[in-house]
Amino acid sequence: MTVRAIQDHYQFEPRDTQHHYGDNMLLYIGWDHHTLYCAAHAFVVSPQQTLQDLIDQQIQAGFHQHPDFEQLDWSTVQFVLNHEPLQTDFSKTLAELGFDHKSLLRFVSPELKGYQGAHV
Amino acid sequence: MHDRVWYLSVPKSFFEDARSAGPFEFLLAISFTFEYVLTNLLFVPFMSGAAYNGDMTTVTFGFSAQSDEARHMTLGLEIVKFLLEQHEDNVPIVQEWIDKWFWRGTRLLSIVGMMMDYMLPNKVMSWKEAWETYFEEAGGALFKDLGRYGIRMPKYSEVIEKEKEHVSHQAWWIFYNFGHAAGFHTWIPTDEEMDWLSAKYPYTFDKYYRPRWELARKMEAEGKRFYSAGLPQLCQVCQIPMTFTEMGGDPTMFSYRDSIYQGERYHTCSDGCHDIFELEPEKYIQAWLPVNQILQGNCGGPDLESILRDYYHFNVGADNLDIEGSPDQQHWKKWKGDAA
Repeated sequence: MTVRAIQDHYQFEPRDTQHHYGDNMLLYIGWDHHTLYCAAHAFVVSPQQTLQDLIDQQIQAGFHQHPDFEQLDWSTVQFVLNHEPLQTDFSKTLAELGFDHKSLLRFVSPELKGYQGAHV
Repeated sequence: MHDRVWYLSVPKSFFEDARSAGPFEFLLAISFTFEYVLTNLLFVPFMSGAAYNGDMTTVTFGFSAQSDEARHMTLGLEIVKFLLEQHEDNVPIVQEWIDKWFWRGTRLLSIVGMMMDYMLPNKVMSWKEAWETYFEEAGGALFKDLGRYGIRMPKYSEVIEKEKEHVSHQAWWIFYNFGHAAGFHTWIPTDEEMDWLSAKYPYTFDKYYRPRWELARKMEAEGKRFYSAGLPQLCQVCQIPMTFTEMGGDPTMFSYRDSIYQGERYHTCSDGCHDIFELEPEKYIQAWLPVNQILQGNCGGPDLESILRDYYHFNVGADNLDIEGSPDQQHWKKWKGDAA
């Protein structure tokens, strides 16, 4: 289905294509069952940074306020990239792991269920 | 400010979507869907709330607006019926618009829901009760009447029915999270208010939302009033932070939907917004999403405080942050005759 327009070629540049972000790209990151944060966060990341860099930099900055954060055991955390399970290799770059512009990365911490186990 | 601030972009995108549609879709969107069914929720129960709280200025405005709405409503319904009577081919077109605009309207009205349940000091009725009276009963009767033309209830009505238990809590939580970036104050409900919310939302408040406020209260008591780090992911269609949760299964799981259009990925908050995107992707790929624009560097900065001060023109420290200790709180106490 497409828009029914009074002009031919109703086509416009999207506002958020990758080139608006220089050499970087947008990445959305959400922590499942931790609704203290009302939504996933939006970050600007480099495709050349590693998954470990992502944890140490953006994820640390974005999620450290949660009381569960310091108990996170990253070796048991499961990552889901654009609805598909991600093979965890902390030393690989985001580009190598298949991250692209406006990807959604969700992480699941099986032992941590949020404040009072209530998914908060 | 209306062009810039992250939550004002929500009504802005709603009305720009309508204005950039054709005249018949505009009429269906505004005069029928919005004014006939949805704004009753704004102009009747919410205005009663304003009156009950002594805010007669808002009441005067609201009743004046409602009389104007009444004219649009009469016009809107008659023209919708006229369109449906002209040709049966119009029925699916009108239905598609009804589906789209009811969904967009319910997303927009989540803000009114939070005003009723959380912001009014004296509450008249819950958002859920208002929804049942003005949408389910009044709107339901209207759709029964339109059934003879082949029109059915808006798509995802069953989701909307479940969401009435959740949306006001979720919407206020967004603003509590980003109370540092809002041009008004936020606060944690008092014990009495939480008990009222438990009574009004027996199926959801204690289970899903009271624990959020308890954690917020604990953090505040530790001197770490929670203001969310970072910036939220926004829905490409409604532009609200992606806070809404799954109504079919686990209501603590954020609802993530996406679409690929011309090789580019777009995220939506629900099946409703997803379907709207899929029908007319050319429109929504142009969305000016406030968070993404900040991250592109188009809103000044680099830090959030300078964006709020120089780009949003907030009076930082007075307009935003918690109600506690704010000038607004001082005014309120003075007005109520309490010691400052």
